[in-house]
Formats: sequence, structure tokens, C-alpha cells
Amino acid sequence: MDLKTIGMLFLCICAITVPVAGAAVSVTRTVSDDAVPPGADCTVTLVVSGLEVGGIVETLPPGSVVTGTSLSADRVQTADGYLAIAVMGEETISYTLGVPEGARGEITGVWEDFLGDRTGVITEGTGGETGTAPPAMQTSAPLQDAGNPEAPGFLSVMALAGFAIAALGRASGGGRR
Amino acid sequence: MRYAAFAVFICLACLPGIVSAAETAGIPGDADGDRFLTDGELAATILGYLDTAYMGGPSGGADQADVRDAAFVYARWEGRPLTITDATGAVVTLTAPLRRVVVFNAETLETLRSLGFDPERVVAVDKYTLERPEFFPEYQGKENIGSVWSPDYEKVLSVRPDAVFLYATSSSAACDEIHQKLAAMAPGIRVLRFDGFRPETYADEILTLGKITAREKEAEELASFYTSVMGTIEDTVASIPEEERVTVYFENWKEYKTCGMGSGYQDKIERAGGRNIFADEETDYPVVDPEAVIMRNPAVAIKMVGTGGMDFGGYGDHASASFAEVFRGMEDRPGWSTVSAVQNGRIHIIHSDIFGGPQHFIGIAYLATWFYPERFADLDPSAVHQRYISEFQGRTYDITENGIFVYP
Repeated sequence: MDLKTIGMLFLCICAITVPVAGAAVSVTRTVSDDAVPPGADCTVTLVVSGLEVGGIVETLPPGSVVTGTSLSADRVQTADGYLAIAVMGEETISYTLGVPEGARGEITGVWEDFLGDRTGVITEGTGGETGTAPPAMQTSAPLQDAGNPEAPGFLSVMALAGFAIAALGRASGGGRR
Repeated sequence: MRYAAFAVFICLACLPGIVSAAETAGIPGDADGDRFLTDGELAATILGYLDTAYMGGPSGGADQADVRDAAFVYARWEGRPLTITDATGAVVTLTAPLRRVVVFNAETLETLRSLGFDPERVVAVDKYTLERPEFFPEYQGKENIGSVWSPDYEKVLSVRPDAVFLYATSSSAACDEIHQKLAAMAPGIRVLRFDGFRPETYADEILTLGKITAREKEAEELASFYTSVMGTIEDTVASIPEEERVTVYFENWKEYKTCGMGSGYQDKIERAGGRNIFADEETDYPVVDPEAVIMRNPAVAIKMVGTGGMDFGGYGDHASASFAEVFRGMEDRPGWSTVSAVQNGRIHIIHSDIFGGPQHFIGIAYLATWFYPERFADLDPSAVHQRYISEFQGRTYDITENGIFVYP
């Protein structure tokens, strides 16, 4: 069984067992720029609603680096393609992401509401600085490789599966889950 | 008894995690142990958990339950332990929200329900609660911990509670014993004591339970409703001269068993503006001479049913035949034809469901309207009752079509 199938199965399991975000909490993501030149930064903005005390974990494209956040250093933690954020009432959180040359991948993320005992998936916002989700840097689409503009994109479901596979891979390496 | 105690001790020794999150270990995430959870400490706790749960980080940090407790203390208790005084005057400190409670008294359980306390967090109830499925449907299936007079300690410990609720002043000897034994067996379990039926303390108990459960807004609403009804009655009664107050004979389910000075029913009769004809009896619940009732000639006679040999009516029974039979029986008692209450058609039957427990204010409202129908013409006890059931107890129960609580 290949990783794609494993990811799809895991996604199905998650859909059954993980509570969908309640109406009171939502986290959406927008990315600032249209096609990001290799080596440049982009700004990712998370709009948070109803999350008084919670956590966010962004799974980042391989090779990308978080170069700054709107929160203080003690509120965020990065590790190997992840960005964790301790949310304490903020409505907007942003971070800059450095995109290395040749990078491919997608940004996916989850949230946890520690007061409401709920979890959910970060969804795509309907506007960044440009007002629309840029096709070349969508939250569920791959980064464009400048040397290969014809590289195919991924469906949102594959992006979630990708996250799931990554999480499963990390978990098997000794994580709590 | 020694073997039973030994068995309980063995169970305690074998049960993992018996000491709860509300223990003296401190606030989850309070790294420096100063009993104040700062922004930084909470953030570190959250990030440590996220690292382990999602990012493949090392285990050993806070688990999800700890993070949720830390978040609660930070957001609802301003990062500090909550210290409250229960109805016995005992000061109790909580360092985490209550997530697994055992409730020995239905009065507290009913009040918690009024506040919207999550029934999933009630892990065990007393046997009498389980015998009332019509009123406590959502608690059926919970573990049965016996009663304050016959507690099942093994069961209590097995459900790993972080708090146990007992009466404060009712059955005090039995509750004191349970309190002491739990303190010895499992010091981490918080024991919280509330009565839930005494007019002099109920409003305060509501507010304290609201603090404990972080349902303060709901507690203020309930307390406001309760005190508005009681206050209306109190203000009107205060305007009635003592010599004009109606004389009342009160009888519980057993014939000629009445209430004396210092009893709860005596207090309720007085709050409704009545004068108990046996208020001079020093015993709380004396059995009196039938001739004495006739001689003292009460203007109103109140018969309470719902317990003992008259266990009918209330929420689970809407046939009035039994009430009517009791009513006729009182009218037909030898010599009672000379009693004012009989001559003036002022015999009333009331069910214990609305005269004891948290609903005592509904019963007092009924008494007030029976004692002084004109003065309390604007007070509708059935509307008060329905609002309590619908708005505070969250039940879709129409009292005009279900149950029987008063007669006629």
C-alpha cells in the first residue's frame, strides 16, 4: 500500500473520529503574495475567531523556514517543517515564510480549542493582500518551482492527506500520537 | 467492617491515578509553583503539548487534559487557584476545574443542572437520584454510590472523582463520617458541602456553585429568579401584622406528624406568612394529639405527600385521584367538621417535590397564595414552577399536562 492510499485512509479515519470545528471557532489562512520567487518571503495570515485559549500547528512545505511572526518568541515554536502557536485570544496572527529555491509542497494546519475541548482544520481564507487566493501560492496548492512552471497542483484532500502522512510519519518516530 | 475497610484500602492502593487534578500538586503548567499561571507558563505548556502531540517531540510534558485545565485556570480564574467557602464554612481551594464529580445529594445535582454543569462530568450519583428517572433522566446509567447513610466507598474511589458533594447540615453526622473517611483515603479528592434546600442559605449556595463551575452568569440568573420570588413574598408578608397572620396546621405523609420549632417546614410556613399552631413544640417533627389540632383550630391545613406511605404524585405521576382521596380523608376526620380550615375549604395538599429541595421556593409561593389569596393575587406559583423547569432545568415538561404537585 502506497503512502497516498495510507494518507487517504488516515483522512477518512480522522473525518470519523476527530470533531469538526464547531461553529464558534474558525481559523482561516491567507497568503500574501501571488507566485513567490524562490528565495523570497511571503506573509501568511491566520484569522482566528472564537479561540480564547488554543493551539495551532502549521505543517509547512519542505525546506521553507519561518523567518518571523507577529507574536513574541515565547508564543511560537518551530521544528522540522512545523510551526506551533500558542493562541491566547488573538484574532490575527501572521508569520513570514522563506521559500527556498526548488521548494514544493503545501501549507496545512490544525487547531485545538482548549476551553471548548474541540479540534479542527485550518481552512483557506478568501482574500490576502491581493483580495483573492493567489493560485501560485494557495494554502492547499504546491509552491511553484520557478524551473518547472508546469508542475501539477494538488487537491485540498491530498493536502490534508499529506499532512496526515507527515504527522503519522513523525508520530512513528516517537511523538505522543 | 474491618474487612470492608481493608478491602477499600487495597482498592485504593491498586487504583492508578486516584489523586485528581484538583489536588494540592498545584495548577497545571505552573512551572515555578508560585500558584500563579502566567502568560508565559501557559504558552510553554501549550507549546510543549503541541510539540509532543503533533510535531513528534518528546513525551513527558503536559498532556491534553493538563493543557485544558491550565487553559481553564488561566481564562476563568485569572491564573490563580479558586478558593471558596462551602455551606459548612469550610474553605476549599481548587487548582483545576472539576471534571469528575460524585454527588451524594440530589439537591446539589439539581442546582448544578440549573447552572448548566455538563452532566458528563458527573460520574456517580446516589441511589435516590437513580430512582427518579422522570426527573433525572440524563443521570440514569451513572455509577451508584449508595447514599449518605450507606455510602459505597469502593465505588466512590473507583470512579476517580476530583470532587465529592455532600450535605452541609442535613444528616451531618453521616456526612461528617464520609468526609473524614475520604480525607483519610484520598486526600486529593475535594469534599464540597451544600444543602440545596434551606431558604436562608440557598441563594449563596447557588452563587458559590456558580464560581466552582465557572457558571457565574447562570448562577446569578438563577439566584436572581429565586430571590425575586422569595423577596416578593417576604415584602408582602412583612406588611401583615403578626396578629393577622393565618394559623396553619402542617402534616407530613404520616397522620398527625407535624413540624415544631426549628424545623425546616416551620421556617417555610413562617416565610409564607403563616403561624404554625405547633410552633411551641420543641421537637422538630412531633406526632401530636388529634384533639390538639381541633382545639387549636387552624385556619388553613396543609398536607404534604410524596414520601413514605404517600409516595405518589410529583413529576412521575399525574393522576389526581390519590390527592383527592387524601383531601376527602382529612375533611372526614372525626371532629374536623368544626375546624375552620374544613369549614372554609382551606385544606391544601402539596407534594414534597416542590416543598423540599431547591424547589422549596415554589412551595412557599403556593403557601403564600393559599394563606393570603388577595394579597398575592399577582403571584402565580404554577408560572414560577414552569419557568424554573423550562428555563433553569432545561426540561421540556409542561406542568399543566404532566405531574401533579398541589390539590385542589
